[in-house]
Amino acid sequence: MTAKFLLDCIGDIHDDFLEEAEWINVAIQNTRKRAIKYGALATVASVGIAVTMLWIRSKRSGMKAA
Amino acid sequence: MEDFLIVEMFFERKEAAIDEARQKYGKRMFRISHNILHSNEDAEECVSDTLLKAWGVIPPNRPTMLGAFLAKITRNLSINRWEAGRAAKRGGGETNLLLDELGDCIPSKGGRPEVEYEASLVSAAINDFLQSIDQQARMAFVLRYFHGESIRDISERFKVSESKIKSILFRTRKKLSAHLEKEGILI
Repeated sequence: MTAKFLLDCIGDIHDDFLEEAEWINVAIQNTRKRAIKYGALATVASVGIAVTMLWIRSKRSGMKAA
Repeated sequence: MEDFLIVEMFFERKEAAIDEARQKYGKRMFRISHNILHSNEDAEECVSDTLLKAWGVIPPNRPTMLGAFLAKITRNLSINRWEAGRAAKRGGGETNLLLDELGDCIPSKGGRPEVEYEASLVSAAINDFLQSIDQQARMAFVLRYFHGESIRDISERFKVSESKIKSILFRTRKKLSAHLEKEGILI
């Protein structure tokens, strides 16, 4: 038996095992997509909060001056 | 589109079946072929050849898992092409590494003259073995020795270090070697 023979035999493994291994690829791709999506949302939300805080602060300081 | 619908289109001899299969599994087939051949052009050709071959064998075959069915054809065609290329010029690549590593699994005890067991017998032993090991080791084994993925890619997928994957694969090969020996599969 040669390594090539073994490699050929591995080509006949159950479809279930192939699908299982493929599942991790899909799962990882989905995780990456989710991470990008939520990362972008979190960034937008953080910027929004920061701008709002600045706006409130500027309003307050304006009122104090008045 | 669901697999059974695509297979049904193959049975009805609708050429759109090829497009649907390419759309659904093209990337997967390309990745397997590219892992073996390291050439975009060759991998593209292998994907096309796979679909052509599928067109020829469905019917009479009616695969329940079309992705796995196509992946096996792609892998076989890619290895054949790789072998043809290697015969033309001695070359390296991931497939040489796979063969070197799988050399560990070939039991060397026994000292008997070489006996070539039927491929189906060995495949059955490998399937039994894969069924008996834990999921992470099984997935790593399949990604490495069926899909031909690099150690780095596998480690990225599992979010673990490369050395951890090397160690998992090493232990799995040793266990496979012992399993094959136990099953009476010797040189």
